[in-house]
Amino acid sequence: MKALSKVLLVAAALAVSACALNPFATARTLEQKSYALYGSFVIFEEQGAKMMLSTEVPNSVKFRLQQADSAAKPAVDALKDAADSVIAAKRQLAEGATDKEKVSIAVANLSQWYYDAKPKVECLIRTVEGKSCSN
Amino acid sequence: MLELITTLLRALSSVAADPGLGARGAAIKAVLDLAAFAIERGTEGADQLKALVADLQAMVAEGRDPTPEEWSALKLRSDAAHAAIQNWRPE
Repeated sequence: MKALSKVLLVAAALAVSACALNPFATARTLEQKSYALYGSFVIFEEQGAKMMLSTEVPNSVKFRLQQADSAAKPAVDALKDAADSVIAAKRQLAEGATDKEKVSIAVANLSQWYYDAKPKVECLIRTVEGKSCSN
Repeated sequence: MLELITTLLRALSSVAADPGLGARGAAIKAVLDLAAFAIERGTEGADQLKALVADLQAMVAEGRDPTPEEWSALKLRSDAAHAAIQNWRPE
């Protein structure tokens, strides 16, 4: 039954990926790519939340979901905070209240959080899909 | 099409739930319910991904980055889902 559950969860994932929808390929700027990452995280996190309510999903999958979500959530929230800082720095620059260096620092910080969060989000996505995750 | 398949799976599941079918019926019902659940989740996820891609395409077309309001809307959804996942306890 556990093996079958895994197969069916993978089938659900295939239904998603079969649509060839790739938010990352659409995004152009770092801010847009960060939004694509957070948005993808939210979509799979919400699917995970629904799986927690289902008696049809094995507890072992639910425990793995909790772990993957615990690992990813602080990273994506830090990503959002970093994006907020970029927006604020750019606004201040436009108002003449700061210089380009502050914007560059904020963008570099956002880039760091993006690469920190990405594998954790991918781990959550793989877990929702019923695949293993080494993170 | 997928909606039709899940409706059929749920209908077959109801038939399998007939007490006259015993343990085998219950096992078949569990499999059918899980299949319907998995397809529903996959379909819903695909629809949400389409919406996200559409939002990003609009941003690219308008030559802008996400606004603080768009970020906050995502965070609200994430906070709710996070709480639902973390508050789960096995029965």
